Amino acid sequence: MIHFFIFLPMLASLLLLATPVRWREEVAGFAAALTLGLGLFMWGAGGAELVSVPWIAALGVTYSVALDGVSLLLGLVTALMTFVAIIYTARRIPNPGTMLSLILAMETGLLGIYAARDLVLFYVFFEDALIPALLMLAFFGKTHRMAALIKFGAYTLLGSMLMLVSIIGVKALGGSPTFALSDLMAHPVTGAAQLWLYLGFLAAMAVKLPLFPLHAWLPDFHEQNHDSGVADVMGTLYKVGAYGLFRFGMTLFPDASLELRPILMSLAAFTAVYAAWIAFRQPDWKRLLAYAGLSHMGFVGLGIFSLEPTAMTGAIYLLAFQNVYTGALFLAAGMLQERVGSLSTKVGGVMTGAPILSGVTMSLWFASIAVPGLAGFIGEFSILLGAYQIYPWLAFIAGLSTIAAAVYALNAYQTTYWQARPQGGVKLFDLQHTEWLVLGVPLAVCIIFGVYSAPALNLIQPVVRALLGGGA
Amino acid sequence: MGTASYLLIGFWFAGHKDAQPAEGVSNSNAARKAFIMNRVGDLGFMLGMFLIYRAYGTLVIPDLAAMGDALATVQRSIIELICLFLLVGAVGKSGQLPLTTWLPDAMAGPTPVSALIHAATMVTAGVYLIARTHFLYDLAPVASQWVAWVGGLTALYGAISALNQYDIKKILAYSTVSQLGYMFMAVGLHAYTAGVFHLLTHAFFKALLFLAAGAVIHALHDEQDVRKMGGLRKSMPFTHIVSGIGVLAISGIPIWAGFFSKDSILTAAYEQNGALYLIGLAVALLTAFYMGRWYFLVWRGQYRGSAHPHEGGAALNLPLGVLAALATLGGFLNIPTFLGGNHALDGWLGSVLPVLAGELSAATEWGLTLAAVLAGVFGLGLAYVLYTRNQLTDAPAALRDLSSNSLYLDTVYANAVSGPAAGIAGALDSMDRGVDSTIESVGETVGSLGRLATFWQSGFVRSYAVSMLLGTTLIIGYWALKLMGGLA
Repeated sequence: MIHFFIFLPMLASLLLLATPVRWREEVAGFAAALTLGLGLFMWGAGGAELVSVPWIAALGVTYSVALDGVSLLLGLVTALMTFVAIIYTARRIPNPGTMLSLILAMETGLLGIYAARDLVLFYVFFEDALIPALLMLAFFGKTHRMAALIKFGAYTLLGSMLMLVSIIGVKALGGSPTFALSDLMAHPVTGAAQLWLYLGFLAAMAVKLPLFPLHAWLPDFHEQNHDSGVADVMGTLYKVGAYGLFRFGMTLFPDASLELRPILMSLAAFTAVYAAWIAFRQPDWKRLLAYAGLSHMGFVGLGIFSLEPTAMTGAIYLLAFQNVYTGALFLAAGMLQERVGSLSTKVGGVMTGAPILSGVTMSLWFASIAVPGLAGFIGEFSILLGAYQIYPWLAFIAGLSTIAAAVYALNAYQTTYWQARPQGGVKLFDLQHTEWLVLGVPLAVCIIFGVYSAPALNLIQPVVRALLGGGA
Repeated sequence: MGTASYLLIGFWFAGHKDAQPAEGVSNSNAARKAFIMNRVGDLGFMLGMFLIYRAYGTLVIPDLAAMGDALATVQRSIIELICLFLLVGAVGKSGQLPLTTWLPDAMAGPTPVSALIHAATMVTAGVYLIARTHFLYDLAPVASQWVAWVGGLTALYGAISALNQYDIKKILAYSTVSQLGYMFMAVGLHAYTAGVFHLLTHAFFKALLFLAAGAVIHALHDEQDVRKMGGLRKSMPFTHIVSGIGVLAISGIPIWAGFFSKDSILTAAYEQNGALYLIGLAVALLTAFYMGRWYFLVWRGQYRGSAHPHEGGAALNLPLGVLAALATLGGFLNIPTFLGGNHALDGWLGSVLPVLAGELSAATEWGLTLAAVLAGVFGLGLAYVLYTRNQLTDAPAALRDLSSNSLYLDTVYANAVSGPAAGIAGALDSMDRGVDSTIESVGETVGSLGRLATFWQSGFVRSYAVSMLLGTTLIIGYWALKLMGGLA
């Protein structure tokens, strides 16, 4: 079951190449829906136990996968947003075969990242998800896509290389027989070596979190991607740094993460405020969303690095649901661009022409800036509450970004959707056909999990408790 | 609530039907300001909650209240800090100094919204918050002093700002700010029941005044400038009477609701803090004066506008009538002992809130009451005198500028906060691109090293031959030197 869940999208992606053009959307949609269905089914069945078989026995590489609460939650969100992205791709992009194929291939990579319980397998999926992301940017990007692509590739690959060194080091120095997480945990590396290996691992994860000062690829990546915002959804889902740190960083390098906690938490809090403040000046919705996402990631980092149960739970919660609303906001920006032909934050008067689109966008923004009653709030509040118990001042600094978030979001929203529309602008149309589904489903998820958080918290909490009980 | 008011204030955003573009911009600016200022308050509130959680391990109010004496085991300074944080939250929500400027701007909303937000419900949430967490404030004398002073100064600020406004709703908005200051003063002095009592009566008469103002604006086809009103008592007799009741109630004239509640606050202030009592009394006077100004400019004299005023329909009048009745009778809920009453409301609230025991003699209480009433009468009288001399519209120049710019608080914020913040955002943006280009230039340096190497790989066979020749020469030369012993 779990293997189908991981590899079904990849199979569908390959199948698409052999599918007649007119059936491609349907096949892709069906595959994504089936993946989501499998995920929900496994949620009902309580996740999946660890499956471990030797893969490359000579090197000690195993194929170990499992779905515990955290993996399952993030996997479900990934499957959901991939499904949404595919629906919107089918509507928005003409002849979308390639795009659909890349999205599905990337989904397998992402699900694999969440399910992997072997460091090398994790690395394989980690790189596997990178390739479709690069290709999407290369095929569908805008004028300056090559510069953005090189930057994105360079940052990621440099980080990955350091991570690979760390991965090998962890096994070699710890003396574990395989790369499987359980074996590695039984043979921990101690002392100064642990710190250095953690730094190597951290390099890759900080790029992917992203954390200041390794975030520079992010705004360009989003700005240069296809106008529809589909690739940005996948890019948002690809921010797996926090998860990697949660799953492998805290378990394999407990002493080092405790030692570096003040520095990392400060960096994360700084990232949150810094990005939110910069977002205020962005003239382009996608750049703005990129910085908004970066600010959220600062929050997530703050929670993960704090090693405090409430904050870590909140961090995973925020990580999962920011995918939903940030992704949906990228798609909403795509819809805006389809209507007015621009992603500028100074368009004006969209509310008059397309009230429902504007209203839904506003609701999603409220989720994003953590208005109580929507999913973003629970994550942010828990993170700040937990972080406050460790370092009150850092919680205060990160808390400042909640004010900054209100400033940048409302400012841009006002100039785009409210203020007067220039004379002679094109006539706007409101949500049509599947667009209702594309924005409606994420919004519904944000509202449901903003009011009733127990199902998600029940998934996260046992994992966090086990991790902190066994690790730190 | 912050979100709801954001949407309500922004209801008339630009591009919406007949709103003027400029007006629309200012409406949406007001909405944004309300939201952001509330956010500042929310942050304080959150920090307060975090600290409570840290100190007591729970956020459930009944649990906290049930801890009783155990609350005091925590360090005093921490309790003070919790209370100060909560105060920030209350200040943001209730439009107290220094987060007050959003409240008058929120007038952009439709009039029933103003009545709802500014009289009865949302803005009083701050007072309610402090009353609700009284068990913490009881342990935090310093923070309570802060609450009282914030309240007192805000009351003064609102009253001065209201003196010279021209917008019929803005006068009422600043008046709300000022009255909320009274409530803060009361809860800060631990006179929680007095604060909640004033909250109640204020809800009646301020909603009444706002709805009456709405009826006027409706009758005058969206005219809000009091300079273009006057003489409306002839064309709108019913609204005139209920407005008069509202003015009497807010000015603290006996038997109307405001008299009782304001009196109980002033009594509490007199007992505990002379300076605050004087401020309170001055504000009572100012309140009576600017409400008198409001009344005379709108209802008396000759009509100065060009519309055809008419009485609103039954739908407008019915709520006005109900509110007028409440504004008249609401005060009797809590008649003090020296007037032969039994503090009925205090008794009812006593199960939740501690009641401040009065220790003053009946004579002092009479004196205090008399002073308060005199302040009200004097204020109204002053307004009347100036009205007969036709000097009511504008105060002397210095005071006028001060008041109509509401003590320049907005300007201070624009220059001290908004401007620099936007500037810093720009600077950070360039810095971010700078971080980017620094790393990029590292990349370029590596790249140019690579390009140096490419010179070698030119693809010309003859240059490779030269390289080989040079290399061979070097090796042979090296061996030759070594053989000759030159490198020993």
